[in-house]
Amino acid sequence: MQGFQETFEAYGADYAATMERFMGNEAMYLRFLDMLFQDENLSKLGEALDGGDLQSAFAAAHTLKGVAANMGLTPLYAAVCAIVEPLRAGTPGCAYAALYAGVQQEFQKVRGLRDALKGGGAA
Amino acid sequence: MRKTVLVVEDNLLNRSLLCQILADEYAVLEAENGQEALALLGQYGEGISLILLDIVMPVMDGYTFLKIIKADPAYAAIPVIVTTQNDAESDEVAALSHGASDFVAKPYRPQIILHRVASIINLRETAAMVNLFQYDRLTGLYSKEFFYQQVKEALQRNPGREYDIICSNIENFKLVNDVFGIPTGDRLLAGIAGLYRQGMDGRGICGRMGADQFACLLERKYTYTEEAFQQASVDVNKLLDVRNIVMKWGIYPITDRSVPVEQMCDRALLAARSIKGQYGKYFARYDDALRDRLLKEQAITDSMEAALAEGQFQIYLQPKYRIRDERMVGAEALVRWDHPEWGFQSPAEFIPLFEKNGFITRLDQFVWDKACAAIRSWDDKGFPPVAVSVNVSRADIYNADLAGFLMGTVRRYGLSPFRLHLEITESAYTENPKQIIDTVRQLRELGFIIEMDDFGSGYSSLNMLNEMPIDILKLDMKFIQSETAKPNSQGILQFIINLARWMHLNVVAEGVETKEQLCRLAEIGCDYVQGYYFAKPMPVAEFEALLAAQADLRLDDLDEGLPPSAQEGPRLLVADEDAGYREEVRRAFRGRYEVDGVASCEEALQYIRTHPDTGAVILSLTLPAPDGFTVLGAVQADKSLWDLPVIATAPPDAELERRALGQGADDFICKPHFMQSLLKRTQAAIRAAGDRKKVRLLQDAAFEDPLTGVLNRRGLEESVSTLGENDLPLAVYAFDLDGLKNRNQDAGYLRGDQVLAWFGTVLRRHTREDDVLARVGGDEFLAVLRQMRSEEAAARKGEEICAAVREYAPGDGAPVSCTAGLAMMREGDTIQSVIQHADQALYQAKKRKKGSIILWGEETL
Repeated sequence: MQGFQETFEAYGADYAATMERFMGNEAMYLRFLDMLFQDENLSKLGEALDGGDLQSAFAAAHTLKGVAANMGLTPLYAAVCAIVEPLRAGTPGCAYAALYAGVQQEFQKVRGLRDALKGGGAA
Repeated sequence: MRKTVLVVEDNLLNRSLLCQILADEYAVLEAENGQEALALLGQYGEGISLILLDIVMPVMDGYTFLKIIKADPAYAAIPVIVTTQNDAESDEVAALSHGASDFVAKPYRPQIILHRVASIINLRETAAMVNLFQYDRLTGLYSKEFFYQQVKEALQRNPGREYDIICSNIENFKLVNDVFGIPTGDRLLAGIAGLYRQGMDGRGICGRMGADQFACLLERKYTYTEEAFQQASVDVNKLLDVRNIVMKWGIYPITDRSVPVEQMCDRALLAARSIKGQYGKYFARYDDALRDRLLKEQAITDSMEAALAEGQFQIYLQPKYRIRDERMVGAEALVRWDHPEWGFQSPAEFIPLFEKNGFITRLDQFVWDKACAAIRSWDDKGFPPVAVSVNVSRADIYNADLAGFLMGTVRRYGLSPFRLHLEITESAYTENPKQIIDTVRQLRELGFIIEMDDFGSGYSSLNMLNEMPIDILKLDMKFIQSETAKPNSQGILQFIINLARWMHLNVVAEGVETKEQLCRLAEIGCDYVQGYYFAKPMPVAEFEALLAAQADLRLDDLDEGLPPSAQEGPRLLVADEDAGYREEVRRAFRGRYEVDGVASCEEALQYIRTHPDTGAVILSLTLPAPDGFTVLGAVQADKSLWDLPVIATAPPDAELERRALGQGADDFICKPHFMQSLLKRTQAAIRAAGDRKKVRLLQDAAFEDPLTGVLNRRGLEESVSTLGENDLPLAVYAFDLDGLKNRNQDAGYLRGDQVLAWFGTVLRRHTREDDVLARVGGDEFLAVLRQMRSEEAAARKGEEICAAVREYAPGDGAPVSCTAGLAMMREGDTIQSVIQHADQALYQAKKRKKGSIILWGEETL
């Protein structure tokens, strides 16, 4: 049975730096983490890429990046950074689909993290 | 109280996190985008201490938002911290260049964010306070408080030096703001501040006292001249396209350093205000005299209401006189203030103040009421009717119900409006011509007599003058005083009198103080005077005594016919080349008249001019150099001599007799004759002249045609309205003189206007005293003769008058003829219709038989 900090660090996040932002309040962190799954920027990013609207895609990815950074979700943050930079430069024909798939994959991992954090907390 | 921070961020998670971080120390407002943020700014304004702003947002991005708030002076001072991603330095640079104060990066670090927010808020507030304290935000000059502080320190640092405080303000600055808008007003103020900075050039301390007032402290080593301030005023006017900004400066010389600086500035401003409205005056110094005056003004303002309530104000009346017979014809009502402590106050001191504070309206109304009350009481005592002039101030004219109020006042006393003459100063007309002219026209139509006061002091254009509804011109006192010093020939005064003639207006000269002034005015044909030479303003009772004395005097003139003794009788002049004849007359008249003698035309004219009280002239037509007709002509041409009876004498000669009577001699007697006959005829002529005088006494200046002395159109209207049934049947004559224009150039003979004046005399001599005579147009006259027995008698009378003109042919210049139309008025006719009939008859006569008379009848049409 892992504690919050162990699970969080096992995922690849910096517990101390992140929790400082949430005033050491784990429950508050979980509330914000729930908000992440209500955030529309991931789906906006996918739709914009499908429609070839790189500008909107950048805006969504950029916001997502900030959110990921604030949540201290380092692996997700890295995946988002990978797609933000070519979008900022407006590079056409980049392998956006593959990069987006990478972001989605990391997002799933965060979902797992949340369940683990909540399950751990409940157990 | 907690300070408020506004968080502008589109992402809910980021925004919530920021709010969480700030919530412990600040009140937090949230906005999802730039537009929401602007709405909140509008609501809270500078109540927001700081803004945390995300750059990448939908609807309105952070840059646009920054640009908008930094351009708005109301929000520009609110610091903005931009939140960035820590991944693109260019974002941060761009944000700073758009006016952001700082930035924080994501991921957020609560300690850093809180610290930056706190320190930026603190920094801004300190700076803002210092700024607010030291500098005026609009102009960049010192603020009032800081200026006071700086002046105090400068005075302390330099005890040995002398300083002045100079303050300025702009007249009607609010008007500039109102007319041109506040941004323009602000531009003007900033420009003036610039001129101060430039002008002082480091030599003094400048501050803005608020609104349009500036102040500076300057060492006392410069001379202040009107020229320098005038130049400054020119510079100020160059700042805007508007050219009529009036700036006044006040100087307070610092002598007593214990006086608070605030008070020094107040005093400088009071000095500036003391010359408000004075054209050409740019600066004034504060001194004890000014201080006393301002204190006095305050005291006056404090006590005026009580003064009116307690009856401290009284009216005084200054009589008006007709020059040609020096008869009192009316008065001007002036206000006097007898204060229980201060005594009599000069109107020059309180009137301008009342004009400024609006109290003048109540005081004017008080004067109107008292004037009407006085007239009512004279009428009740049976004095001959006189009119009183009252002042109508500019402020009264803007009172919506001026006409109603004035009518109410005269009605309350049962008086006709024409008994009140309304004096309106000329400059009032120039201020708002349209409104004034409309209002005054309405008053005039109601029957009030309109006098234009201070004529010549304003700037009336001739065009405007012609449009103004006026009856009488009053000439400004000061104007006359400087004018009488100049030679007769080229006077502006003469021009004004001529102008008044051309407009058919009478002239009253005000403030006549010397015999010289009076003579000059008489010489150029001024009709009426008012001034210390005749009488000062006096209490109502005193004026009433004068009025009573004059009424008695008139009765003496009329009823006694002969003077009771030689001492009191008028002096007569016998102008005759025969010394023996002169002596005979003197002997025969002894005990009745004193008789003086002269032997030539020149002496005769000289005598008449220097003896205005001469009772009659016995004139020899064969007087040398060249003949008696010269004297007769001169008497006719001089309006003041119309009532002087002339008895012509000559050897029997029908032609001489005809000419003499034609030229206005009252009687003709052939030599040799019995002296008793001459005495009888002289007495009759003097009596007749007295009758004529009486009729004119009752006439009002406003009703008289100034050239001929008969009524003008208004006078005609007033007079015919008093005709009653026992005056019937009436004969109405319309006369038209022909051939006058041709005479204007014929030098040596009577000019056209002199013939008109002569015709006035002809009409008077052929009619009775209670008949109505009027000049109704250039060459047109109207006569209404009462109780005319028959058409035949009426026609004979008209024929007589036409013949007088025909036979006279004055001076043998181009011929003059008189044509007349006659209509009779009987019971049931209206005077208007009868006048119309006389006009129609005249028209027929001019068409059919010029120089004669036609009686109106149905067949004339």
